[in-house]
Amino acid sequence: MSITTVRPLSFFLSLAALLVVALLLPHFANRGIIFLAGIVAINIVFGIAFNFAFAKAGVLSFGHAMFFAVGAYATGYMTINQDWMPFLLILLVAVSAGALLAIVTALLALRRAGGVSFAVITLALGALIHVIITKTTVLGRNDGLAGIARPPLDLGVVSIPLGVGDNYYYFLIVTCALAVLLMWGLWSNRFGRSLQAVKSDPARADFLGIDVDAKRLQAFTISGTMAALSGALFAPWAQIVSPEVALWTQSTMPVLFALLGGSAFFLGPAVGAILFGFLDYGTRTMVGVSDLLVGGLLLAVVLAVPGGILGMLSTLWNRFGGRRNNGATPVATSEVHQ
Amino acid sequence: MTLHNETSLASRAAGALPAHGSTLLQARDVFKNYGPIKVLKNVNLDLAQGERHVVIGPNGAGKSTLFKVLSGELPPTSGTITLRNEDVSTQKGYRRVRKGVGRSFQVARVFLEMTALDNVAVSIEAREANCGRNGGFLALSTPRAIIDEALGLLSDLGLYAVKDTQGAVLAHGDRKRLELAMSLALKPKILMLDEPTAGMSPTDRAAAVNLIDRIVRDNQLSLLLTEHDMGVVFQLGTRLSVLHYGEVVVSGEPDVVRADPLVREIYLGRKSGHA
Amino acid sequence: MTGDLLTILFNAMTWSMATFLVASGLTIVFGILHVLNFSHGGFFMIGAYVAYTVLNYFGFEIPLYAYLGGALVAAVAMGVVGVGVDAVVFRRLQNVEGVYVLIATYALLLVCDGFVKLVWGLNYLSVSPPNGLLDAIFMGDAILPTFSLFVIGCGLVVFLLLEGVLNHTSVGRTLQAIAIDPWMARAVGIDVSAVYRATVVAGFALAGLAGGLLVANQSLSPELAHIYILQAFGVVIIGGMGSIRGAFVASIFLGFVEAVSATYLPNYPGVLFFATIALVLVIRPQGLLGKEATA
Repeated sequence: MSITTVRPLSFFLSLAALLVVALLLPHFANRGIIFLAGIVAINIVFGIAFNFAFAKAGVLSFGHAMFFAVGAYATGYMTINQDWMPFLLILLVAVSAGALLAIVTALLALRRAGGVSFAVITLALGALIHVIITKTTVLGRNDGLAGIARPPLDLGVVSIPLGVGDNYYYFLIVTCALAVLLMWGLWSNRFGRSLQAVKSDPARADFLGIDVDAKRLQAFTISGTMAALSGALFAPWAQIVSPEVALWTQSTMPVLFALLGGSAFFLGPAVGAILFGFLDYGTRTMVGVSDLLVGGLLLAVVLAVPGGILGMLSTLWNRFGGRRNNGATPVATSEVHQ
Repeated sequence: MTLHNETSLASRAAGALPAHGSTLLQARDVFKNYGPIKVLKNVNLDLAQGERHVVIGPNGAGKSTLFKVLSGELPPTSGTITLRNEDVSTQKGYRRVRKGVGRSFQVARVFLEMTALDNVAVSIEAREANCGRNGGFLALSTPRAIIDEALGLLSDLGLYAVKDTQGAVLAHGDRKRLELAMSLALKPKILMLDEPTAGMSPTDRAAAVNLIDRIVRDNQLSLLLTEHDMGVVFQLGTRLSVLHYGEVVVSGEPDVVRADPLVREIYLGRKSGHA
Repeated sequence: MTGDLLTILFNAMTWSMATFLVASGLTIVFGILHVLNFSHGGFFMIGAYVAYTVLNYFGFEIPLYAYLGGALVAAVAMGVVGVGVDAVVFRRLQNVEGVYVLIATYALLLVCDGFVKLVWGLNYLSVSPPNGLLDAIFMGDAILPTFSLFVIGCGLVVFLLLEGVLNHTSVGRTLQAIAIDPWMARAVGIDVSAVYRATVVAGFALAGLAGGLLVANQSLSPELAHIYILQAFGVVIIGGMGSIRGAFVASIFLGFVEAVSATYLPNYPGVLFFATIALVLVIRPQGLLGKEATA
């Protein structure tokens, strides 16, 4: 699979299919299903955001919940306490807060530590953010923020009341689609290829004149920013934000989505998030089963299907689909250097 | 038994400094320690425009370390590296690359999961980005011009047939040439090759020497390489520096170096350190 | 004031030794296999629950021998589990990239969480300390529970035992050889995979032992794994990854950080702890105490 020749058709078809299903859903599904669909859309953005840093630039974060939480809490706080702010401005501020946190994290830690070490640093920072949230009164301490409104969307010419009917749902779906589109562009274009070079072989990339540290910082910042966006969209959707969104179990979710769906593929986390949505819905009433399920699945994927669902399908397609293997299966680059 | 002392070595080396053309790359009083181990001791070295400078020496003499320090993979413990009249001692590899250096690794490094064509195309894109041409967000695929340039380089190095093969499954020799193509894609002024013929059969080695000779001439490159095959050294080199126990003991034109009694002694293996 | 100081000192040591008990198995596995094992906290937690189940038969009057016996049962049980986990999981992670190993062991932790929730439920459970360790010593203003003294003692004993085994026996020297260069160790005829298996089992048994010894130190809930694994990670990271002595010193260092934070920042538990860990990692990613990754 050539990365210098981008064939956008399959991506656009997939995105369009998802979009059509999501937009038609309110006409035949009940409230519970629609709510779940919104959560899945948010999770898709969250998962792809995580995977952008992980699979494209080789930066593993175990604390992505902190970006989600910052986006969610910032949005929740501003819609409750700063209701003069237009909604788009609120989103902008919330997302910028996530971007800032990502830049600070990367500047502090990414230059000095890579791989497992960086993952543990993000874990500790995530835990720190969680503690701070549970101890901050304006953020509702352990209770979180409840009664988050869905403010009107002021577009200048028209103002759409997002609190009415399924309006917020449509806004959510469209915004998620735009975010996915944006990340796909960055994943596929020349910038994305330079990130892939950095991940594939940092020493080689360095001697192609690529500033490895800068690329990692940029990738992590984009990832954190988009994770904050998913959190920002979540707050008015759930209308309640609790400290659990900052907990490290929340940080595991995008890892699971990405690995389950296939982290080598841009839409891998989307597949993982959709599948997880079904599983979660099916097991929601059973105590402990969800942990067993998430843990067991993740373990099974890492041990048995490292390429995830899309990786498996792609292998099958190449083997039985009559197409010659043109390298669509990602090659493990783990043990080649060092 | 000590055949020489340090001052005499240093003076011999210093006595044979710059030859011709303007100096592109220069090492002055370079030391490199790994903890308590002194790997490079007061190394002085010049690469002049158009020169083909070969660093030779027995295994463990510090060739690879010198190469890493010159290219920017490792910082020197002390001393100065000057690249095109600019002090680059503390600069990392990518900044030296942007000043016209292209290099290979002893074990060829290419992007393993990318095809040969993508490897070269990504290299050209990196060069373009370094000149401030980023192609824009909406241009997803690599432009035709870059693909054509990459295909040209692949054909030139005899890799056209494997253009769609992944780096991971390329044959050893192909991978070495692919790495060379990636370095050439940067349009460097200086090409630095670390043991380019290591692990090759005599036939492959002869072909590699001819190839390097041709591309250096075609692209008007200055060449710096480390090598321990003497045949290769004398075919390619216009200037040799002999590294021994981390010091440059002799530096000069091939015939002069070949005739030097000290070099003969080192290479005849009477002293320890020769593998 | 002296009471305050004494309390801080005492709390610091209790926290340190409790954390060291958990971190010791984690450290050994990291030192030899270079696997940062998230699930260690999970098996520690299951060990505690196993001990709880054993001690349940004794009601409120638990003799000391039964308490120690419960810990031993937990250690053996987790050691046995370790054999299985090694065969199914760790064995397959030998040639997997570090980040995937981290993800796999984290997944295993979630499995432990789910297992505990299914078997023992979500409610808080508790075990009272054994007979003879129920009261406290009063020194000035300070109250020193005897059970805490017991925890401190356990930590010291485990530390001294591990130090003895690792530095003064042939087993210890073999382990060090493998930690430094497994290839070379294999070349000189050491059965490296057997040693790896033994290390994992020992690590798991230590997790179970810690769970059993600390079962009365706090109430039991499915949160237990997460609380202790973060503390133990902190210790292993600051201790320079993989050295028992480093882990011991780091435990004490972080114990003081935690005790000072509990006294002067009582409303922000954990903030100082995580801030310290993040800071140390940023300044010295290889940990405060040296670079060596030997047990």
